[in-house]
Order: sequence, then structure tokens, then C-alpha cells
Amino acid sequence: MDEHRAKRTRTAARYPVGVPVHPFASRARRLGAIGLLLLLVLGVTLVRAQSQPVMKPPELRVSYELSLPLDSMPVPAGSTVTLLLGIDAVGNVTEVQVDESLRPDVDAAAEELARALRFAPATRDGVAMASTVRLRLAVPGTFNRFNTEPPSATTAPTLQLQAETRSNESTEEEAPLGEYSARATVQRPDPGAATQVTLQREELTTVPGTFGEPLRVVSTLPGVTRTPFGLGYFLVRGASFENTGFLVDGFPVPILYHLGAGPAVLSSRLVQSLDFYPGGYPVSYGRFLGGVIGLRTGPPPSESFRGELEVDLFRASALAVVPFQEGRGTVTAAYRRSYFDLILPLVTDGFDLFYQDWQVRLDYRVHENLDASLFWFGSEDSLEVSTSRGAGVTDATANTSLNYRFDRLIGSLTWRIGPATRLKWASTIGIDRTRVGRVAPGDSSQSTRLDGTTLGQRLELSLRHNDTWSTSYGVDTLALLYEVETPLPVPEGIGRINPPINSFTTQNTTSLALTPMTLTAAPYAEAVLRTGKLEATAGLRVDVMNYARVLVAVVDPRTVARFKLSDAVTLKAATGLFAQPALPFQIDTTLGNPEMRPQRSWQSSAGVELALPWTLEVQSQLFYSQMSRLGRTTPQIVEDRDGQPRRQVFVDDGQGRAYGLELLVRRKLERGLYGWLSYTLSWSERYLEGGETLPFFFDQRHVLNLALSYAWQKWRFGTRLQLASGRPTRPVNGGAYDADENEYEPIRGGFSARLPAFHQVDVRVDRDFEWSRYVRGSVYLDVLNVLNTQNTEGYLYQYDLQKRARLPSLPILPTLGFRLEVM
Amino acid sequence: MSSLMLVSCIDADFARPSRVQTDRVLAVTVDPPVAGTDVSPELRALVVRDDGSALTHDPGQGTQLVWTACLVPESVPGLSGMQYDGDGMQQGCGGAAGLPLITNTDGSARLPSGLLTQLVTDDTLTQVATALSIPVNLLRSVLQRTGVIVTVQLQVVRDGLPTLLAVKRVVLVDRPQALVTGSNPPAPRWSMRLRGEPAEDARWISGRSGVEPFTCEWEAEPLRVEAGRTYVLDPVNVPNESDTTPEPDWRESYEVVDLSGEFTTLREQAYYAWFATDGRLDQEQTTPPADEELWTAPSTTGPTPLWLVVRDGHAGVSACRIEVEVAAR
Repeated sequence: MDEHRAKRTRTAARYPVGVPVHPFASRARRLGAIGLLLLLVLGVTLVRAQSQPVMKPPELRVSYELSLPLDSMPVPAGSTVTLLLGIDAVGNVTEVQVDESLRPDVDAAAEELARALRFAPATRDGVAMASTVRLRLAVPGTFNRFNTEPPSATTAPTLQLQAETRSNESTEEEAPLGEYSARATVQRPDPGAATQVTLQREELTTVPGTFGEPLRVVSTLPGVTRTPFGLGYFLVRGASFENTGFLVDGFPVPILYHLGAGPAVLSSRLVQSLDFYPGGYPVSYGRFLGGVIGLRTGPPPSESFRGELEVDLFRASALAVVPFQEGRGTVTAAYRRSYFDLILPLVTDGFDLFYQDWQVRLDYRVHENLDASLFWFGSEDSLEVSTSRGAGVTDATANTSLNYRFDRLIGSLTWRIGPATRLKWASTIGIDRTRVGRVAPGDSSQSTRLDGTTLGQRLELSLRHNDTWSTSYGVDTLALLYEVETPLPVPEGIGRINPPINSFTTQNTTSLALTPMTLTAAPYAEAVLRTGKLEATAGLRVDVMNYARVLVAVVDPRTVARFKLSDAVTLKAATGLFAQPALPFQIDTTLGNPEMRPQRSWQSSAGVELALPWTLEVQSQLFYSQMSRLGRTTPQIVEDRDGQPRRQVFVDDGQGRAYGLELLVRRKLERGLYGWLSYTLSWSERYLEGGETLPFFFDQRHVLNLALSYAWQKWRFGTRLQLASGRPTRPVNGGAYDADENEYEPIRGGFSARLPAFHQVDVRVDRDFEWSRYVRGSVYLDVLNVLNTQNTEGYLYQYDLQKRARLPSLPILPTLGFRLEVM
Repeated sequence: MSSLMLVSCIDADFARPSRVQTDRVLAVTVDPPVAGTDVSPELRALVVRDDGSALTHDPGQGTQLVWTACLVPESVPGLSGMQYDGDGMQQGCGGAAGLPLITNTDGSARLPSGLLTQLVTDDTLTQVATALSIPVNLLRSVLQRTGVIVTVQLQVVRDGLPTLLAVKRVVLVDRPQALVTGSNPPAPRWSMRLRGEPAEDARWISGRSGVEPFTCEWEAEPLRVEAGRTYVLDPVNVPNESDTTPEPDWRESYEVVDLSGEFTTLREQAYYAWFATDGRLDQEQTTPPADEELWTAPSTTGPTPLWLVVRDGHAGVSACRIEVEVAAR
């Protein structure tokens, strides 16, 4: 107990008190809006004033920013601390009492903050008097990052008190008990990021239509184009899906989702925050032409043993968190398994699907300034399809099987060398294994083997020299090595005509053993200048890329400037270069072009951020991205180094551009309510130099998403609306019969049409329950496309292309599940 | 799971490719399909009407078969990728100016002999190399070893309006025909028997090669098929363990340039496609070395046509039609 008290005192002593902020800006704006209402009730008020004393609650005049010490443990998102404050007739806080505790160190910091607040005293008929108020501090998700970020008066996530107009009616002599809440300040992007949206845990797991999958929430943010069937890939700011990176703790992972529109390959409980950079990401990241989606993982917050079980119609998962050494360390383990393999045989033959994923994580505070973690996660998907022979008949002797598995091990150390210096090292090793097999009657059995190894290292030193300057330096290396053994049909080339059926007969295949390798090493440096209103970041990243026959150093300068026009208005602008190696399947010396240069883009954006009343924040920006050296297929035949002719297959002369406007109006989670409206107006085009400009295959002019979720007592209700323009299509004007291949080739027009616009509404209801002090959980119903809207994702054509049928989007798809926690 | 739900929601009432219900081009032959410099390949088309009768070249009745040699290079289909949807195979002559061919009274046409020699001269070498996407210094050796593929376009014009469009490839080699390997499969020969009955009870059908193009006939008494019963159609062109009467192997070998840039040898295969105006065919296309097909006779009685088209995967094609009498069970 004494030790606990001592720790609490230490914590409170380190708690910094920052620059005063003015809490009345939003209130003042609200006054205008309710002015008319006040006039209407004025008469009533005057009448009542004749018979009752006029009670006015205290008003918050001065508050301070709050941050936790660097060495504090993560604080669960959505947690609250409630304090009762005694305020004297002058407005000073004379007494602080913890009403609802969260954790000793957080309680202490909140108490410290409360004692520094200043109020205008409560009044009775205009006479100052002592009063009591309730102060509630709601912790946003970004608070979790306190223990990993260097202290900074301007960039560290903070809590800012805001006066509330709510008050309880009271007839007592005391002033009414006012209630105050806290909210996070508008989340500022990391230095070097032009636009960044950070979502906290609850926002990530309760958005309707996402089945609680954090990554699917990204599809509702501005800049993201809708993809068919809710597939797990993202088209961001007009770039192709392979140009957006998916990183876990800074390292790329190969897939996002399990097969069959399944969940993410990583338990959402281990996701601390999701950072989405639609473009203009910091120099600490690289190798992607478009945006970056970064997951920061960590153990679920828990001070004692905790177990969770989640079951729905398609899968079950379990998670256990075991803290040790009084919370100094935590071991977390999670496992998920689908049971499609039990369900599918009941509804169809010849189709078998199975997936599982696992995570084991160790977090340990070696020293108060040194954190260590080791994270192993992996995933396996298996699909087996027997060849259909029509009319529901399957041929058990013909089937195709796919098995994909990957494992990643990430180790990291974070050393806070001093109050303004941090050194972070992380390393990963990954193994990928893919097996594809095919057996068909009368055909030789075929198998493809792909084994991959990923090695990565990241080292970053962050220095805060003073309140004005901070710099960071780092090295980001990644090596990808793949071994592929596969038989492939000899392609249509010189002298070769495609047969009616691309049979995998041994006479027409080439057995290939490939070992493509990509090595990249990128030193980077970034300097941040912060003055009163200006924050300017300049960064430089040099990617040394070595793959196939390419060895090149790509220099990517990037800069971001943010100017705070007022407390409510921030202007921002950014520009920078980005590079991405040519794709692995394009650079093989046999199947591709080993001289494909890295793809490049020049991204620029300018916009504004607004802090509005009712805790609303608005982000809006114009963006322009110029892309070059894009890969495209070519029929060109070239002379190889040995003097023989060969298909070039790929060439890197493609160009493109994307531009548009993004808007995000967002209310962060507070008092159970969160939501956002995002809108994107964009154009994405591809062309060759001097050639015709074509719309990108997934170009969508308008994309609008609205997500709202509200918690009431133990219920949470949410809805999501999606509206999107259809993607461009080339009308099929009949078909030409290919007499060699015995099939019809479409005769297409230009990109003169689009698919019909898409619209869909999803809903979700969660109900929390608590069986005992140790057992609690929730039941949820998530309904995708609740109105069963018949959207069109494309068209299917009759063999001769004379008739077509609509390829519908997903119909109404309800999922019922429950989550159980044992503490 | 989503995919399954999706498939179940598709309401597509599509016709099967093997069922002839509209005017169709069923086959186009070039003889020889791999042509040397000193031959004039002959082009023929098997075109049928929706009732199964032959659609022939008859300008007097407003029906014309219009042939054009496209002389445009093949592209790489199926690899257009996500960034550029504008790539892909050109249909017909793809809008490029072709070389009009003269249609004979029987609907056939011929490519001019020495077409390749005419196209590739010292003056046009660079132009042709560019058109074929082949480096100039490689063009000669490629022309002589693998040949280049030229597309021929067939348009069926009825009453002045183009109604059908088909393309066929021919391999042109810069060598005399005597030094060229590559011919069409022999006229089809196949058996028909009731499923479950022994092979000895099968009736044989064979093409009348060189007599009446695209025509097959019963070798003995025709098999009167019973309405609604399923029959086995079994070609015997290629030696097969299950065949009781194997015939000489007609498949030939040919050279191509593979992905690694090496000249490599491939062997032709036998691909069988059947068509019918009524009844039901089990497959749309056989996969070598399998060659059997199941045909369920129509429920209505009377004569009904069946067509068989054999392809060798290297521009070679043969085809024929047989009429089958369907009787009540």
C-alpha cells in the first residue's frame, strides 16, 4: 500500500502542466445558434424568476492540457475517471474527490489537473457561492500511445476540458451539480504526415457492416474507393490496390483478410490503433506509391487475468491476457478458427473452406525507460474445390486446392534515453508458404510451390532538441526472397496459338523454378520546426532498391506545413515524392521484365482542419497525385541477352494521375456517441505519353459514407450508409467468334458507361451484459445491407455475348455473435 | 460464404454454347493451317442457321461470306492487368485496314501465295518487324522457324448487314511448303452407342473428306436413337487406351518460342467440341486426352443434326455434320 502510494506520488510529480487553453470558444459559437431559442423562452424565464431564485452553475474558465508520464501503462480506450470538485465562492477548486476510479496513476494525474482548474463561481440570484461539480474525463484511444511517444507540448495527444451547458435542475440552496466532460483535442497527424486519421478501438470494432473488423472501417474513410463485395483491398486516392501498403508495427504483411470475405488475419483485440494515411505519409514509411494503413498492436488493457471468447455463425475465437510481476509484463495469446468446413457440406458439395489465425505476444517493461515486446502471429487459409460437372454434380476426382500460410515474428525495443530522446528498434522475420494443387481426369496432376522469406529491420532515433526543434533519423530495411516452382502453360507467343482449353498437359507446360529477390534499404531523416502557429516538417528518404536487374537509389523528399490560423482553424499543405519497387510477378527474368524500374508518384495536397461545436472536427483537402513508371502488359518481343527473342510481357512506361477533394466531418467517441461523414470527389486516369487518357478501372466520381453509433445504457446502436458512383465500364457490343479457341471475344466500345450507383445501409446492435464481477460480455447483431438493396457489381455474359445478367452485390447478410470476457 | 450466396443470387438464363439456337459460325478451316511461301491456303467456314441447316454464300439471296486478311500482330490476351483495361486482344482486324479476299461461289476463299514474302521485303522489313513487335534482326529467323501468326476475319452479311463475325489464325512460314510441318486433323471418325451398352454395339460415323466439306455419314446402318436416352460419342482419331479401333496418330510437333526465349517443341492435341440443335451435350469442350462426350437425345422425335469440330491447338481444324433420327422409346 505504501509502495502504491509512493508510486502515485511519483506519478503526480511528473505530471506536466501545459499551456492554458480557452474552453469557451465552442460555447461562444453555440450561443449564437441558441439565441433564437433563448428569446422564445425569455418570457417564461422571467415569469419563473418571480417565484424561484436564479441558480447559475460554475463556469470553467481556465483549464490545462493533460498528459500522462512516459512510463505509464496504456490506458484503455473509452475509460473514464469521474471527480467531484468543491469550488469556493471565488472559483478556486478547494476539494477533489475521486468519484469513479480508473487506475491509481490516472486518478492521480486527474486529481492534479483538477486542482489547477479555475472557475467562475456559481451564483444565486447573481451572488457568488460555493458549489460542487462533477468532472468526467473520457480517455480517447490515442491515450494508449502515451507510453511510446516522446513528450511534446504540441504533438502529444492530450485531454482538453470543455465546459458543458448541461446542468441539473435543483431547488437546493447549493448551486446545481454541474457536469463536465473532457474530450481529446483534434488529433493532429504525426509530423511529416499530410493527412492522418486515427481510429480508436471502439470506433474500430462497432461500425456496422464491418463485422467488428478494424481494417474494414478504412473503407468508410475519405479517399477510399469502394471495392466490390467488400473485398479486403483498398483503392486509395486513385492508386491501384497494390499501391497501398498494409503494415503491422511498421512491417508489411502479405494479406489482410482470410478467404471468403473473412475477418482480418489479426485479432482486433490486439489492435491498439489504426493509422490511415491516404497519401503523403511520413518518411519513416516507404515502398508504396499511394497510401499506408498502419496497425499499431499491443496487449489488450488488463490488470489481471482476462479471458475472452467470441462466437458467431462462421467462426469462434478465444483470447487470454495474463499480466505478471504486478503488471510489469503481459502475455497475450489469441486463436481463431472458422467452421466453414462443418457448415458448407450441409449446403453444397465440392467446396471446402477453412481458416485459422493465431497470435502470441509478450510485453515487458525491462526498466522504467526500456520496453520490450515480442509478437508472433500467423494465419492459414485452405480452400478445396471439386470440379463441377453441372446440375450440381461434382467430380470428386477433379479438384483444385489452395493452402496459404504465413507467420511473422516481430521484436521491438523502445528505449527512452532521456526525457527528449527515444531510440526504437524493431526487427521481423516472416515465412510464407503457398501450395496450389490441381488434379483433373485425363490430366497430369500439377502442383505449385511458393516459399517466401521476409526479413526486416527498423531503427529510429527521435530527438526533441527544444520546444521548437525536433528531429528523427532512421533506417528501414526489407528483404523479400521467394522460391517458386510451378508448371505453366507455354503462353501464346511466337508460333503458339491458345488451344480451346488451356490444359495443363505436360507437353504444353514449362516447369519454372524462380527465386526473385527484392532488397531495399532506406535511411531517412526528418526535422520538425514548431513555432507558435506553424509546424513545418521536412524529410528525406533514400530507398536503395535492388531487384532483378535493377539497382537504383531513389530519393524521396517530402515536406508538410501546418499553420494554425486560430484555435479552430488549421491550414495544411504537403508535397513529396514516393516510390515503389516493381511488383514481384513483373520482374522475373522469365515471366516478366527484369528491368522494370520503380514506380514513382508525386503527391501534393492542401486543406483545412476545423474544430466545430459539439466536438465536431472537419478535415478537408484537395489532392493531386502524378504517377509514372506504372507497369503494363505489352505484346512486344525483344531480343534477350542471349540473342533469342522473348516476350517482354511488361513495360514500365505507364502514367497516371488522380485528383480530387476529400471531406471528413467527424465526432469522436464521447458520451457513447461517435460518427463521421466522409465524402470523396475524385478522378483517376491512366495514359501513355501522348496517348489516349482512360479512366482507371476503379475510378469513382463520388463516394459518400455515413457512420453513426450511439451507446445507451447497455445497448449500442449503429448504422452505416454507403453511396458511391459506379465504376467505368466498356459496353460490350456483341462478340467475335474465335475459331481457334472456340469462344467469343467481346467487341467493346470505349469507356462510355458506368455501372449503376451503389447504395447500401448496414445496422448493428450490441448489448452488453454482466453476469458477475468476473464474467461479462456482449451479444451483437450485425446486418449487412439491411434493406437488401439490389446493387450491380458487374455483368455476366452469355457465351456469345448477346445476353447479359447482372452480377449482384452481396444481399442482406446478418451475423449474430457473442463475446464473453472472463476477468 | 459470401461467394456462395452471391452465386445463388445470379439469375442468369443463359443458353449453352453447345446448343445451336441462332445463326452460328461453328468452325473455320484453313488448308494448310501452317503455310509455306509457295502455297495459297484455302479458307472455309461451317456456318449454320438456327434451324440447323447450312448457311451458304449466296449473294443472290442476300447472304455473303466476306473474308479479310488482317495482317495485325497478336497481342497478349488476359494479361491486361489492373492499371490498364484498354489492353487486350483486338477483335477481327481491330479496326486496322485488312487485305480483302475474293470469296468463291462455294463460300471459300484463298490467301495469296507468298503473302509473307510480299509482306517482308528488305524495304518493309522494319515496318513488318514493328507491326509484329519483333526486333528486325530476329524477324528472319522467327519467320523461318516458328512462322508468324496472321489473323483472317470472316463476316457473314445478310441483306447488307453484318450479322456474324469470326476470326481464324493461320501460321505463315518463310519456307517452301515441302519443308513445313502442319496440317489439319483428318476428317472426323467417331462412334455412337447407348450409354451402358458394349462398345461392340456402337455405330460408326466418318467424314467425307475431300468429297463434301463438313459432311459425315454413317458407315453402316444408322443408329436410331431413342428420345431422352443418353448416348456416348467417342472419336477415334487419336490412339487411346479405351478405343477399340485405334487409328494412326495424326498429331504433329511444332516449334514455338517459349517464355524464356528458347525455341521449344510442342505437340498438337485433339480437342473435340460437339454441337446440337436439341437434346443436351454434357461438356462444351473435351480436355485431352479425354475425348468422350455424352449426348442426351431430344424428347421430340424426328431428324436432328449433330456437329463435331476437331481442333489440334495449332490452327488445324476439321469438322463435320451428321443427321440422327430420333425415335420414340
